[in-house]
Amino acid sequence: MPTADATAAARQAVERSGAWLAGLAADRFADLDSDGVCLLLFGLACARALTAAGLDGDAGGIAPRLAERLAGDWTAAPSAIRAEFHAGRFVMPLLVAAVSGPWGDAGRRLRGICEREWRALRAESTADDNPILFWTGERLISLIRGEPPQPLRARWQMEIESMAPPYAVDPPAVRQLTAELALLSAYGMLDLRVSHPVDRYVRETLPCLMFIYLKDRDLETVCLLLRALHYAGLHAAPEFSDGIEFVLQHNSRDGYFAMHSMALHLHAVRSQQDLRRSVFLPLSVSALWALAECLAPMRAPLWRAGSLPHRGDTDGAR
Amino acid sequence: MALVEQAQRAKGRAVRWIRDRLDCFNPLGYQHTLKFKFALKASVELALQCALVHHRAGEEPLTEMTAFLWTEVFGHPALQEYLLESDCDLLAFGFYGSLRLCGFEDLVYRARLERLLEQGYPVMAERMPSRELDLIYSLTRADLPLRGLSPQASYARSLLAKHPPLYNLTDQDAYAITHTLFFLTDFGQAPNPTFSSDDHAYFAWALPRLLQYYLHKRDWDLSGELLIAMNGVGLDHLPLFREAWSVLIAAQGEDGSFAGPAVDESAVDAQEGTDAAAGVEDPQKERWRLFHDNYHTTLVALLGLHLSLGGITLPASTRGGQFGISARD
Repeated sequence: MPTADATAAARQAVERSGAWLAGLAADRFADLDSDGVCLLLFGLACARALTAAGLDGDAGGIAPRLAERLAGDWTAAPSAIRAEFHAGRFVMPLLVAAVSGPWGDAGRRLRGICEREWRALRAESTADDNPILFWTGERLISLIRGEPPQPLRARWQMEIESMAPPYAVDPPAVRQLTAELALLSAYGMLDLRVSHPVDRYVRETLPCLMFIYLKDRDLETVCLLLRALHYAGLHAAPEFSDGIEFVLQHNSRDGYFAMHSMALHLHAVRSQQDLRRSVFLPLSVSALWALAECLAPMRAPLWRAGSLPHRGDTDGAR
Repeated sequence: MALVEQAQRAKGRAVRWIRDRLDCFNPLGYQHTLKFKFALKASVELALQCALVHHRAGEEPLTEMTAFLWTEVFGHPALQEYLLESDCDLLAFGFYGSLRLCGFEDLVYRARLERLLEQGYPVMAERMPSRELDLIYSLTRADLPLRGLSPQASYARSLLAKHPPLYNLTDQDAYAITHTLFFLTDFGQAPNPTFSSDDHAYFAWALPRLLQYYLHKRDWDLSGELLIAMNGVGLDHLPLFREAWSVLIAAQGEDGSFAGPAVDESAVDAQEGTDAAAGVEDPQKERWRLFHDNYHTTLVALLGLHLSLGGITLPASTRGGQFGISARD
């Protein structure tokens, strides 16, 4: 497990990162798209998990305003959010709704809209098309309803059961592997129950994959693998600590998480691209999610959602 | 198809690829200095391949290649003068040592090497430890005095002996590690009793990790070198060892070569005054480019196939070492 030093360093990094997210939200409040708002909200929820006293000042106060803005967007254009769900892009909205407890009435509205859209989607779709995606949706809806996590009863051939050796696993496969482990472990709330060969595969492969992507300095994939190691309970692997250290090293003084900063800088100079929204925001949210789950699992936002008995709609003041 | 059969076929195809390009290995066939130097290094590496296979039980000697190197390359007075008088002492000793092991001898050249050693410069020059081990290896094979050089002392100064963390290692560091092991284990043919238990623990941890990494990068050159190195320190029993060989064999091109890592050849282009962007298809240039890109990886793969998989069907007792797969399969 990470040392006390790592946890203290993480707290400082997360406080900076929370402030950076809040700054971005304030600067871009009017013109951020819904995806951007979702990322900001989920990132702020993760940052909050790692700061014992919650986020200070603007960082603490911006989330309810963002949630209000998102609920307003979804209410004003229901067809847009419905289209997102039908296109399979519902995981981030559901994640946001699952951690929306602290955001009062706006949070209640977000949860209500997600439940409604999920019901509509389920009426037309089955798990057959993409079981992992479908059951991830089910898992998150269950958390939104405040139900305690249960082992998955559905059964299908998972990627993890026929996975390639580590040297043949590319970043999309890492993403799939992490999604499967998140689903099976209910985001780390349940012990992983898999067959002996799969357990062996996971134990042998995940540390090796972490080594490969650490050596490649691939922050995005390292964040995914950190969560995967956590879901698999492989906290004692040296690569778990190495991964946390690596993520923390990539927290900039301004608070965002980034890699290959010089290349990004040069690219941005040429393309006039807003790196904050297109690169730093998604990377920072990935990093904060990984740090929250790995360093403060019992305060991580999804754990809180899953451990509250029938939170219902009365916990807005939490 | 069983791995042994795959290996045999891969070996045959790689040998044919090299045999069909022997002229490319001849530095005397090039007008441009960079190509000359490149081909000289390639010919010395081919000679090493021939020497390592020459006395190996169950392996057909690479007679045609060895004869070519002796008569067409090494035997040329201008080349010998270049080897002895230019700043390339590793090649000068290595070329001679390899061809000598294949049964050739040139006493005049040998006397020049002995004189060089007496003068002292070759053993005084500063080198990376892995390159110093290269010189020691060549001197030993040529039956020439080490003049104070010591493999143990060189190893102690090497990157590998310091058991470095792996995350920061560059490709060049990885080559330094594999080469250190090559020269200390006679390319896997002789176990080295001077490695400590800490060394072996480090090898068992680091080498498979690096192999996984370079397989993931599809860098067949370093993957092949790591396989030879693993064979040299008794890690050929790992399931990964066989898996990796399967991956490497599957990566062999249809022409029999193994693709090397991408390299920058702009310096050669610039010297030749050619314009790669012009898109003019020149068969000779394409032949050179394929040779340039693939020869080293093909030699590495072939050496690995000869040394670590070549004797797989032979009884362990005929292979003169404890590292044979056959003993464990």
